[in-house]
Amino acid sequence: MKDTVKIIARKDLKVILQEKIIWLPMLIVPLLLCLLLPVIFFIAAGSAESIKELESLPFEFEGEAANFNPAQKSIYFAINYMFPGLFLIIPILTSSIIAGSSFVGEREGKTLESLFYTPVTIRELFTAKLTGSFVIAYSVTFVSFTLFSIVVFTAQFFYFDYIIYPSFKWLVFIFWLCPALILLGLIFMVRTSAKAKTFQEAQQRVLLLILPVILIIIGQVAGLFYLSTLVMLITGLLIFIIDYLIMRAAIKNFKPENLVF
Amino acid sequence: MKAIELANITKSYDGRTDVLSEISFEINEGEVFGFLGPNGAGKTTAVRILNGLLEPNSGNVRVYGNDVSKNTIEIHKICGVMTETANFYEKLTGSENLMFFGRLHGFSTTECSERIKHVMNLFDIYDAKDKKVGEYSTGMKKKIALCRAFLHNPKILFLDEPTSGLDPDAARNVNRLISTAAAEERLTVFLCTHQLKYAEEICTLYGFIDNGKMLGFGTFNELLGNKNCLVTLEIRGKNIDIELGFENKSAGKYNKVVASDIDAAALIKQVINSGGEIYEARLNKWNLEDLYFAYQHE
Repeated sequence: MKDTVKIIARKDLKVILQEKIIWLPMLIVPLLLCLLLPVIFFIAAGSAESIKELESLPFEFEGEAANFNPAQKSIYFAINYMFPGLFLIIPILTSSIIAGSSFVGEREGKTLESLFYTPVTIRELFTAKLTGSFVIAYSVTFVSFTLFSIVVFTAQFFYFDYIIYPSFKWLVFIFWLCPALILLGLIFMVRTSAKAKTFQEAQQRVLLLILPVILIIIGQVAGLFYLSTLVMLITGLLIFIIDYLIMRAAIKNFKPENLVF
Repeated sequence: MKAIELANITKSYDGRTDVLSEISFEINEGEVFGFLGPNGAGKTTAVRILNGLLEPNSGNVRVYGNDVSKNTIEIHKICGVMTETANFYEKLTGSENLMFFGRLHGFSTTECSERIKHVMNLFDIYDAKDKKVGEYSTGMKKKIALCRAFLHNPKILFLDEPTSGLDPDAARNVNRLISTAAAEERLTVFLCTHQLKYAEEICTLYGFIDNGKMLGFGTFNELLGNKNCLVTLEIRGKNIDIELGFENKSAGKYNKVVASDIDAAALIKQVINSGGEIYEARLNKWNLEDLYFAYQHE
């Protein structure tokens, strides 16, 4: 099983790297959200417009954050509430793109039938594709997190005298919530791959997953609610449970007769 | 040993129309079986059922004694399949594709490399091993598909329309390669095609199918024996004695139905003895096409 996972994951990665339509969004979106946007924000943190925006936010700075200056408060809010919401787009986008290529792309390219003629069980094939896709999607997410961290550490160096990042919240975010969301994106795409005839059609269904993320971002910026560490822990657990239930149903329907013909 | 055993196989996709209806036959090891029928007859469905990709609605299928519904993985180890709908990864090269499928069959990288070299040379495509499959011509894609089918030393080959889309020269070449490779590797071949001319060149056993129903099964002579097929002696000449029972087809051409080759030889002797001049003599026997249409139009 282990060899099968490696063989199929390596092949999927090779195919992804050959297709610009697949790897380009996975390159551009992280660069935008984890590099460009934070750099612009942190440079503008001390500006008059930024302070004005901050003052209009219905957010209570507590503890040590209450004593921060406006620029520090701006950065603190962005790191702990604004950017996590935006960052959520990355695991969902990458997982759905990779699963789209891995499952729907095989069906579209008529290579799924070829795979079914090999001595690999349906369960092995499903697990291999899911595992391979998860590894790739999480790698992109983690590299994006690393890129973002470099920018934040640099901003931290200029604006703060001590470390405020990464907080426990970010660790929960990266090591608990993001894996749960990646699995959700993957399994969601597997379920819809049976219905979607093309990669593009499958990607349109991704909007169903991105929509809640956009609502979270709006909610955070408008001050309607804030993603606390506890909320992330509970949400992550709920998503893992949903992932398990959907995966059980998905594996039952992962049959050649349903997928290929 | 029986390579393939189908017993009362019925398959319907929509629950109303049977794509295969009560199909039963057995094929011995080493046979080159031609499963012949028009498009939509049910040939590809039969291949998919034999390989466990589709479940029949009723009936039993065994391949080398393995129940297909229970031992699908064992069957995939011994079967090499080439269908028109099982494609390659077009962004990967020929050798990368074969390496991937070879590794899934349990070969190590070294074993796979040797095997890839062997099969690609067998099908004369080794020079294109580093070219992306998406850049291959139709003929090359057929050849790489054959390479994949042969790659893991299968005991039985399922070839679905291996010569379709090829020009006559290329089709003949592929046919020859299949025949040679099958003989060298001592395989059982299950060949699906509607190109009877090519099937006749290599098959030892035939099954005729149309609209999901078997029309006939057996060797060429067995199938011939079930029909009133007539052998005709056709001669072109002068002064042919009509009293000998010849029918004058056109100027200088005469036909007569004969029972056997010996009967034909005796008749030719009689024509010459009666003063006739023979410029050309030919025995017209049924070919596979004649036989197939005789079964189809029953």
